[in-house]
Amino acid sequence: MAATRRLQKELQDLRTNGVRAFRDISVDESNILYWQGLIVPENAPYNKGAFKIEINFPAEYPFKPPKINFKTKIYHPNIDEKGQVCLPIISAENWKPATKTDQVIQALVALVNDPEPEHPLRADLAEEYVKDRRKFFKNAEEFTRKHSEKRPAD
Amino acid sequence: MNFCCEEIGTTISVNQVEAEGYEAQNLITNDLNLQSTRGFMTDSFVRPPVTISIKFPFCIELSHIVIGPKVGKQSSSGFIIHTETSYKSWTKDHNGPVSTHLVAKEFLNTPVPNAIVFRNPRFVLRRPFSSLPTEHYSKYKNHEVLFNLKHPSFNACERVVGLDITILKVSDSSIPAISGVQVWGQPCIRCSQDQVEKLYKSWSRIIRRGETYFAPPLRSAEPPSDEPSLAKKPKLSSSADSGLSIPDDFLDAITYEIMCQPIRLPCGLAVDAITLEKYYAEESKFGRLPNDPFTGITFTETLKPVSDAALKSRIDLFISQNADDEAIINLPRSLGSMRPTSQRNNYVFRNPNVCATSTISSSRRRQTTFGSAGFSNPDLFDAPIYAKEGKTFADHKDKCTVPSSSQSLDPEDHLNYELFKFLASESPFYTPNPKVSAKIKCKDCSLPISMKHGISTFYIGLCDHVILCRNCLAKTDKQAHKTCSRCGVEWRAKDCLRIFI
Repeated sequence: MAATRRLQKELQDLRTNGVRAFRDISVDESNILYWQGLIVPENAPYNKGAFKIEINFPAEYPFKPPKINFKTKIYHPNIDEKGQVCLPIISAENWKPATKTDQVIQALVALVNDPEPEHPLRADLAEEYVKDRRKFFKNAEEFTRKHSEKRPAD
Repeated sequence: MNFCCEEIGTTISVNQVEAEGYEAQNLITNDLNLQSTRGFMTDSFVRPPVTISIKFPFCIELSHIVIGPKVGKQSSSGFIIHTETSYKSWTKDHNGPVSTHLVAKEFLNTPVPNAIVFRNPRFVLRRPFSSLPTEHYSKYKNHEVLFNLKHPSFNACERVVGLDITILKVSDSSIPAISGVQVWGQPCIRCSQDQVEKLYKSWSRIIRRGETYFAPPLRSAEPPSDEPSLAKKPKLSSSADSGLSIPDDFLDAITYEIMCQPIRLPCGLAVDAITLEKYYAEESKFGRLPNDPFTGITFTETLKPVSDAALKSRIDLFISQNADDEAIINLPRSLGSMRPTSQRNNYVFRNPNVCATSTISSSRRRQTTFGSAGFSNPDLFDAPIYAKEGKTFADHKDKCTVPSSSQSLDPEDHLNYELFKFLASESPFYTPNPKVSAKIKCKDCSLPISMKHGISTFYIGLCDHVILCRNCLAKTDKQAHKTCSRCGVEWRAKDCLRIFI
């Protein structure tokens, strides 16, 4: 499979000089196309928790983009209730096979840290984010406390 | 690793007077400035020969020696390299008996290149150093001159405790000078584990500090792949699936597979032709013209991907040298057969004596002749093609009547099998000597196949006992189910396969 060697290499690179905001990468030995990891955002209101994500690589990877899903519920304008994320870098038309997974993860972390209400998946949250930032933060913090994973101790 | 550095305990000495500021110590010092601005030069009155002796703190195996023969306008053009080897366990303080071998004597033509490389063709990397790029010398290709280290004795480059580099000749009225020396290799197999461990650590530290031990001309050509190799280092355990380290520039920049047909992109990276084709196919879905997968810039007349024949030949050399390695063995070697050989199983070589299947490359052309032979049923094309080498097959047939013998493997049979396997996997057009097929007889008319037709083709049913010549097959009802009288396997004429031998 074309994807195997590339994914092995990327996993190895991620594990050696990993991103602080993306931890606990776990990959099933039998299926390297399915990764799990923990997003640890730096910015409020998400900096009180961690969020589990899964990355699904298609068999045609790197010619087709991977798919990212949030396993942990998150109060975020760009991430819907099912955990789907709208990330331009991994959309089919923007995807470049030269894009590395760590770039994708960096883009994802940046999106979590700084929501983009201009392209929302949840219009209600985007509206709240734009109009009443304080209320949004309060709700998001509460939601994070209730639903998010524990942050790993450094 | 490069053993020419002070930190690991290497020492250097010269038998002549050194010019001030250009001491031989410069060649092994860790100070980046000293080394990048200066090199080694003797005092201006000194004439060759000048011998520089390098002593290592332990036995090493040489991979290659890189020498920069130019310092400013001063250049040396003739070198002799001696190695000192020791059979005793070596420590710096305890000098065991040392024997000296001449391994290289080379003269350079003017103009003197920036770097010359002496390579030990027998060198094989072991862990933990195998994660380092193996082919540093290939990176100096713009201004390198490559020599082999040669000596009849196998040990001459293997238990090296010291190195004498003698400058025999200088160009014009220059004074003997060397801008830099690198001695690449690995600790000898006799070195203790502790020593190797320590060495590995200090070398990792040196690399991490980002210091390179190259004189300017060498440094400019320093392979960028040293950085990836650093990233690779801590991950030795998981790369241990195969001890072979594949140089990074042999890998496709997108898929990280070894390339079949390297294509150099305008951005400077190389990808496989197949990768590029797949990329074009994806891009065309969005109505984009072929472009660089890394920069996204559409190719033009002047900026377009070109086939890198030099890289291809280097890859092929590497592949053939490491053909036995597990990582290499399954690689497809040409674009026509992109699938690894193990997946090409619709063409199966079947020999029940040897419980293994090999692959036979069958070509489309063969299938066409197959069709033109009077079989209009398209099912035939989907059926697996069983190919048999005549003699092996005949031998096998004889054995089938004696079931016990099929358990043990006749050596000759095995050789035949191996030979055929090899030939079949190498050449799709291989046809063994027709003589050997004389033993094969048609089931119905009992005439030897090859005698009857003068061409070596026959048809085989689902089991090995049903062998028909073309005439008899033509007489058989194509749809009727028949049973083999010997093993009871049901067969139909339409299942029969044409075999070329």
